Order: sequence, then C-alpha cells, then structure tokens
Amino acid sequence: MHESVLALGVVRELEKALRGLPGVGRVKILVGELQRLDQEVFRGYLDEFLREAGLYIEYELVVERAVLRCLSCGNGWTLEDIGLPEDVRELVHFFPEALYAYVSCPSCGSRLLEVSTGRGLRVVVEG
Amino acid sequence: MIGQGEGARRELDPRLEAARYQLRGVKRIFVVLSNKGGVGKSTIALMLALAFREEGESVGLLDADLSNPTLHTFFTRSLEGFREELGVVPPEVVAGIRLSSPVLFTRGESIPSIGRGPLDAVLELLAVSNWADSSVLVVDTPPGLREEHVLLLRVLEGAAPGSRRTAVAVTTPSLVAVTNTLSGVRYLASFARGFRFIIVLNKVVEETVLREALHAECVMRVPRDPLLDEGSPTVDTVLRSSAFRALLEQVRASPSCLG
Repeated sequence: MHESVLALGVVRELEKALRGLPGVGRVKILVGELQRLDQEVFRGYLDEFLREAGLYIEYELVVERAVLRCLSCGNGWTLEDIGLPEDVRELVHFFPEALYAYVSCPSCGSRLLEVSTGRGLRVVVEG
Repeated sequence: MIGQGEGARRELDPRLEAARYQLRGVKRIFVVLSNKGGVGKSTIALMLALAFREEGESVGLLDADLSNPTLHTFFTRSLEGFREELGVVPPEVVAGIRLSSPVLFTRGESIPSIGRGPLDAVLELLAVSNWADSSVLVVDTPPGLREEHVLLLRVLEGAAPGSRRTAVAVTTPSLVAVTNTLSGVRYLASFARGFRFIIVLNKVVEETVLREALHAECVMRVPRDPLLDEGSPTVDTVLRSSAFRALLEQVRASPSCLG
C-alpha cells in the first residue's frame, strides 16, 4: 500500500504550486482506476498531510475510469470488460505499466495498446 | 515539479515528490549507462553493488531497463512477492543488496518501451520503491541514449538533491564503443550538471584504448574474464571473477572516484 507516499507527494507538489499565490482555486485530484488507491485511506493521509503543511484547501477526489485502446484495431474497452484477476490488479496497483504484461485486445488479441484514461494519479489546480 | 502550465490551469505530478521521499536515505547514486549494447553494463552495475556492499554499505539495485530487465537473472532468489511498506520494499536478493525491477510486477513478461510508457514506468518505479534502508543506489539502464536516460538523470537530480550522483558510462575498448560512449557522455553532461561522469572500460585485454580519448575525471579498468563470458553468470560467478576483484581494488584504491 503506497497511499501514504502518494498523498505526501500530492501535498508537497501543492505546497510548491501554491506558494506565494494569493488564493487557492479549485484543486482536483484525479485517481486513475489502474492505480486503485484505497480512497478512504488516501483521503485520510491527504487530510493529515495538508493539515501538517498548513494548507487549508478543499479538494475534489475523482476516480478516472480506465479505458484502454488497441493500437492495432482501434477497439476500446474497460477493466470491467476483461475482468483482471485480483493478484494482477494488485501488481498493477503498484506499477500500472505492468498492465502491458497481462492484457491483450479482447477483439483482435494484439498487445499493442495504450491506456487512454485512468492510468495514475494527477493533480489539477485551476484558478 | 513535472507539470504543465496551461494558463490558470496547472497539472501536477506527485510522483517526483514521492520519489524524493523514497530516496531520502540514499547518500550516493550511480546510474550505469552505455550508448552501445553488449558491453557488460548490467554486470558492471552488479559488480559496483557488490563492491559497495564489501565496503559496508547497504545497497539498492534498480533495473530501469523496462523491456529487457536482466539484473534479476544473476540471482537465484525469486522476485515473486514483496513486502509492502510505504510502497514496495524491494526484496533482498543477496545479503545487503535489495533489487527493484519491473519483473517484480510483470512476472518476467516484457513491457513495451513505446510512447509515454517508459517515462511513466521509470517515475512509477522510483515512486513506489522504498529504499529506506539503502545508503547506495545503483541504477542499471537500457542500452542507448533514450528518453529514459534523460528522464532518470533529471528526476534523480530533483528527487535526490542531497545525494552524490555519478553517471557510470560503460564501454569496451573498441574504438567504436569508446567513441559512441564519449559522444553520449558529452550529450548527457551538457545538462545533467548535478552528475559527475566516470568511465568504466570493461573487458580489457590489454591497454589498447587511446588514452587521449578518455578525458574523464576517472577511468576504471575491468579486465576481460572468461568466467563471465560463459552462459549466464550468477552472482557467485561474478564474486569469483578476476574482473570483480579488479573493480573492487579500484573502488578501494580511489574512493574519490566513486563519490
């Protein structure tokens, strides 16, 4: 479980990004489905580290659905469509690129694919 | 910060700061690279790790060759399974050396080095690998001069600002290999100012390299050893080799050479 380390990374990046700014706009934290963070645990660490950093901001936590696209035939699909085994989901949680080792296009079988959305963790600051 | 400004909208990537946290205890970092394949880069990475271990350091090895990771093949310990603690604690493959590799997560299957994949993967490996008890980190990289090398050097400058950082360029004595290697070093050194560059001349049979071609601050020489040319060497083979003993002697004789 690396929710704590990623939460720390988010807060430290926010500290740098917001330093010297008069006000804080919207902060949106996008959690890719592949990363499969435990939201409750992640939010707990985020709140703790934000408080310790003296950053009193509101944020929105949004889970981005993982959508994969075959670069051979153009087919698109989601994790629900293929049903990854739990042990593989766990490995992908730690290292999303591991997905390329386990998944092929359900339509044509090609492993030449890309993750269109929902790969990892991103933070968007607006305003 | 790795992020993109877009007017009033900014996107931040928390992995650099996560990597900084994971590397907080690492005092020295060595990135082993080579413009040319087949020069023994991974073997030198392993030898360096073993040499530092002999010097009493606790060592982390990171295989950053995503599509062809090979460091794990030197060890008999399986990389299946790992301890979770603030990420992944890389398994101890021999006493005093921990190894993180894509293989931990891919069970040996290759992952492609295309598009943003390698950049994301390198950042992810750095962010997830917990090196809390390693004082030295040795990073093996793919052959060539690729985006991964540029990213690694830049990220490690930012993520490990308190460490001493060295890029170890490995070459064989052939003029082509030396020329390519020095060309790569010149390019990387032009922006990776937080790194010092040293040359390891590997598989040396006799002193054939043009001395004047090697202006690096430090040049180490490792002799060709038939033991290492046979099949797939293991860590025990490497430890028994005259090549390792020669490298270890140089590490001990010129500590300033390796930070």
